[in-house]
Amino acid sequence: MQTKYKWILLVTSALALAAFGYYFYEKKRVKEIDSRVDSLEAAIKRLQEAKNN
Amino acid sequence: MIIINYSPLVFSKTKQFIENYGAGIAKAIAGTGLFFPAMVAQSALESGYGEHIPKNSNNFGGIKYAPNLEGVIGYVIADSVEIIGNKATPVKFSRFVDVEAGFKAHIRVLLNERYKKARLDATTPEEQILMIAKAGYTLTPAKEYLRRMQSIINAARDYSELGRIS
Repeated sequence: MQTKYKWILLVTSALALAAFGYYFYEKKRVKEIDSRVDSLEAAIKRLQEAKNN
Repeated sequence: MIIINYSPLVFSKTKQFIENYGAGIAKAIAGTGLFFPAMVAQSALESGYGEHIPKNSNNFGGIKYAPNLEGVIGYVIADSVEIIGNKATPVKFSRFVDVEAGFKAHIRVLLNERYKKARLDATTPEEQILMIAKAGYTLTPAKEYLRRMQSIINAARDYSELGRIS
């Protein structure tokens, strides 16, 4: 295989791997947030922190 | 569900909406089983990110003046009119004491038995919105109803990192 095509294959594979990684990271992160049950005090504190950041 | 994202404009408007009303919404939905991002998205969509809420009224649902309703401390007169006996009459909307009271009145319908399954059994804000729609909250098809608020749910989730509130 020509070197040019090897590079294309390598870069495409790396991008696909990164996309998969991102997808599963996002899936896990969203699941964690959705399953969270905060007390009202903790929720208000979190909103205040988000505002300050 | 996950990769569908949001534009910077949606994030900015959602952020502003949460900064203005988030604490009151959180207080109103505490212990109900309703997801914070779902309620933010629904109310932001229905109120045009708060722009259609009559000024100083804390009235999220376009609730007409009802002096006996909990939290109502008066009324505001909006720009809109209603026709009563061929006469254009300004509409009085309930003015609530604070965001929490106004939002409690807004979600009162969701506390009915009909929406109990949606409140308690949904595992994600998206699922809750679908279940609420399917239970009869809107005539809009459930998937379309969710599609309209998906980006706001995503933005609200990312900004607040809140799920349910006990």
